[in-house]
Amino acid sequence: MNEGTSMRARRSRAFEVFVVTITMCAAHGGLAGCHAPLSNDDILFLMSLPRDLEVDIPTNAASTRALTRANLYAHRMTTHALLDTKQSLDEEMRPLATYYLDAKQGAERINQDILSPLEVIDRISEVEPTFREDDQRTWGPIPAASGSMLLSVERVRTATVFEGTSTSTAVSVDEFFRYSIIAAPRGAETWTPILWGVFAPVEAPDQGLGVLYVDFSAIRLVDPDSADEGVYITAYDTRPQQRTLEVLWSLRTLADPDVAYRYHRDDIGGRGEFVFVNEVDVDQRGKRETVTTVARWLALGPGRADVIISDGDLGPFVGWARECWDAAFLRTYFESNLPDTDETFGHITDCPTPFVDGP
Amino acid sequence: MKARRFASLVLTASASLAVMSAGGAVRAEAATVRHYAILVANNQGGAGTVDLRYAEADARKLAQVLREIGGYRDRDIVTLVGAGRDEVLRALDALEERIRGEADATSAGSSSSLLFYYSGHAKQGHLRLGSTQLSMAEIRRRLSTSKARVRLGILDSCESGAITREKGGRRGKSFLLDVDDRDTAKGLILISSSSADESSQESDEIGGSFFTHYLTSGLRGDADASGDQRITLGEVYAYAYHKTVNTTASTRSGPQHPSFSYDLEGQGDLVLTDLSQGTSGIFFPPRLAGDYMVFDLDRDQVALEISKREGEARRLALPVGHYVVKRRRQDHLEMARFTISRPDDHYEVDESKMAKVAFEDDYAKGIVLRSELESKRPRLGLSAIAVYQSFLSGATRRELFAPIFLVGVSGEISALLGTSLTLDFELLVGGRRDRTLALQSLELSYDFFEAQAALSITWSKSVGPVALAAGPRLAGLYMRRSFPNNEVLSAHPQDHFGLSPGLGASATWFLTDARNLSVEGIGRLGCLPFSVDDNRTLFYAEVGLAVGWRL
Repeated sequence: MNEGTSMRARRSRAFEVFVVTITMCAAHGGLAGCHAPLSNDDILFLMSLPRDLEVDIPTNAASTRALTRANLYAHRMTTHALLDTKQSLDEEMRPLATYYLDAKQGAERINQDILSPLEVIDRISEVEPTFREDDQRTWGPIPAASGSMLLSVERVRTATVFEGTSTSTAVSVDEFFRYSIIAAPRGAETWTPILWGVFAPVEAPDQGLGVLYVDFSAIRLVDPDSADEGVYITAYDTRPQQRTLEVLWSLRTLADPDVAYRYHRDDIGGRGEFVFVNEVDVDQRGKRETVTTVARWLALGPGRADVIISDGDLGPFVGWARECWDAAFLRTYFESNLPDTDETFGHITDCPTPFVDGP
Repeated sequence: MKARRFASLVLTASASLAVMSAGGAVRAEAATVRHYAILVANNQGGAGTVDLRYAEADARKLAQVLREIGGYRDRDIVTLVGAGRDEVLRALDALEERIRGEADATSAGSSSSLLFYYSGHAKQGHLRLGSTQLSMAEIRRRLSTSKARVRLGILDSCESGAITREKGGRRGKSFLLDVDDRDTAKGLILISSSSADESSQESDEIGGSFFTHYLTSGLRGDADASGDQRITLGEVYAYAYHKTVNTTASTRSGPQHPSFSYDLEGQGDLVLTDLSQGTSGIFFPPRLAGDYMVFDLDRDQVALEISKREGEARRLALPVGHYVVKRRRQDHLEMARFTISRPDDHYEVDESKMAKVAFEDDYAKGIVLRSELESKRPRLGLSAIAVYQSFLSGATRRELFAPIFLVGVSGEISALLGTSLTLDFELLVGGRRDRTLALQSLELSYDFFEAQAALSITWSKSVGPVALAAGPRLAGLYMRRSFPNNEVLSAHPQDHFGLSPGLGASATWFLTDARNLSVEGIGRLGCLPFSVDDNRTLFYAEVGLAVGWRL
């Protein structure tokens, strides 16, 4: 996105906020929706809302180029005429890091999925609360595509131990925040929760442990155009040194999730890990196999992916594949026991040093 | 010619009037008599004295009367203002030389008169002329030995006080009573403004010493008890004596009794001023009665006073100029402006043409009172202000309101309702960018803006060129905090409006005599009830400077 486009986008966004604000003011008869008191509590409530729950897999110019090429492959546009540098031709001599791209594309899809509810929270909370109490802020009702939504945040002053994600250090907090968005279809009087969660600030008002539930099926009550379904659960730890995101997504029940992933980033070393588990009918023989992908990378991009395919039609067979890549996201090592895959490439010692050993 | 001597005699006014009016006036020779005068005045009396305010003005005032209606020529009046001992003695010598020259030129001897007038400090028998001293005995000796036929010495010497100042310091015998060689004093009259053990006083209200004020008022005609348009020494002394005693009776220093001593040969009294020669002035017709005062607008002083009795016409001399005549009633003043534009012009007082004026609107009160009146006249002022505001609590500064500079303008109406109260209105704005809000362990960058509209009422008191003021203040504070660099909070600028009562104090230095231009030091304490998130009262202080201009 160039600067001009970015500026227009910001202006457009500002205009939207202005319109929503005016709407809120008008809906609530004046100052209630317009006046933002000079409140530090307001800041705490805003900071407690979930945001930035995205999987951030490293990218750079080389990565972008690689992804572009991947897209070209996907569209069967393999002509080299579109790749106008000799470097690209040289890079073509080595295959792309397939599983890195899988992880990257999977992360982008996940980000897209979580982006929608987080955007709803951002949009609603951009205007001023319509209701304030010492330990509660309420925004709305906000008009939605086919109904209304209400965002509420409550501060619970109770000593509680939070465990957060599976790898988070459990902490004891004196207070935490409980938030929810409820929605009602147009004309209906019944409000249904579409999103809810808790957040316990630990090191700072915006750093702590939280859990977010999103019911995509309920979202369709007020947004019929929404294509998503199922329930999405995220446990997150936003502390810089333990930044972790664990997600379960199920179309059916959470006990049997369709997709599970875990994302962890070490802010200090810049190392990251993305574990992605889903059930896919890999061999097209009717049953869904469990595909587990563990991708790890260093701050500058070099990394390793380990894929394990099991269950489904495979029976006792467990398929595996290992791949390493360099900072240009080009394959440096590949090996697999799966049939119909690429030939072994390079050697395990060509992997980044920390990742020579398996996960 | 029978000589009369009243050695060491201090007469009461009535006694002196009776004695001195016994014969005819001796100014029959006025046409041939040369009058010389040396008027000495010094506001400063050296170490241990407080500067007087009106001594020098008194000398000029008397000189004006002598020149105008006393028959003195300009060149025969020597006015020494602020002069020291040597300068005074040289002037006396020079004048005496002229008198001797005139006496030698006539076979009949001198027909001249010599007036020595002094206004200033005196202490322990000496006139205090700045840092120098001149003994009263020396003055007396020189007057005694002068060749002038009549020698008149008038000493208005006192120490100064606060509002009504005392002049002269030594509470001892008047030098007039110390005269021990009066045998040699022929044709000598000595008058002091106070008797032996009293102080003389000057008054801010009349803009001069009581004694000289009444002396000049009397000479201008109010002392003309006989109604012959000629003011004699006896008349003016009696008048000045009564007025001075009566007026000073209620002052803090107590009554002041003028005294005199004379040794004058010949019949009759000495005529000092003559109003019969068509001089300009003010005329009070017979129907008027009461106490009137005439204020000289050009010289910024009280020109004369008159206690007018019904049935007698009074004419008092005034030089060309602009005046105000006023009469005090129980609850208001009656005032009229008038101008004397020619030397033979007369203004006749007509009560029907006098305007009714409230006391606080008196526009002719005397030098100091005029300035006081000026300070009591509602004045509009405009100032440019810069203040530094800081909340007293460190937590408040970190988490809510950062210290900032505010700049703005202030308008004031001083002397509200004629009192020392000033109504002040201020508009201030200020702010700081990129401050850090420390919220728990979260540090947020923010911009802070404040606008302030305040109304205050202050009571002020002038101390020299400085006016001290203090009073309550009510400010409306609008504060805005924005987070332009924060992704989450950039859409959430916060604002607060609150009423903030407080107290303010200031010290204003007036840079001009007209008290127009000023520099003001400001200090304030305010409190801000703040019920956001929690109920609490926040306190802040402001210090600053203002540069103001009063209309």
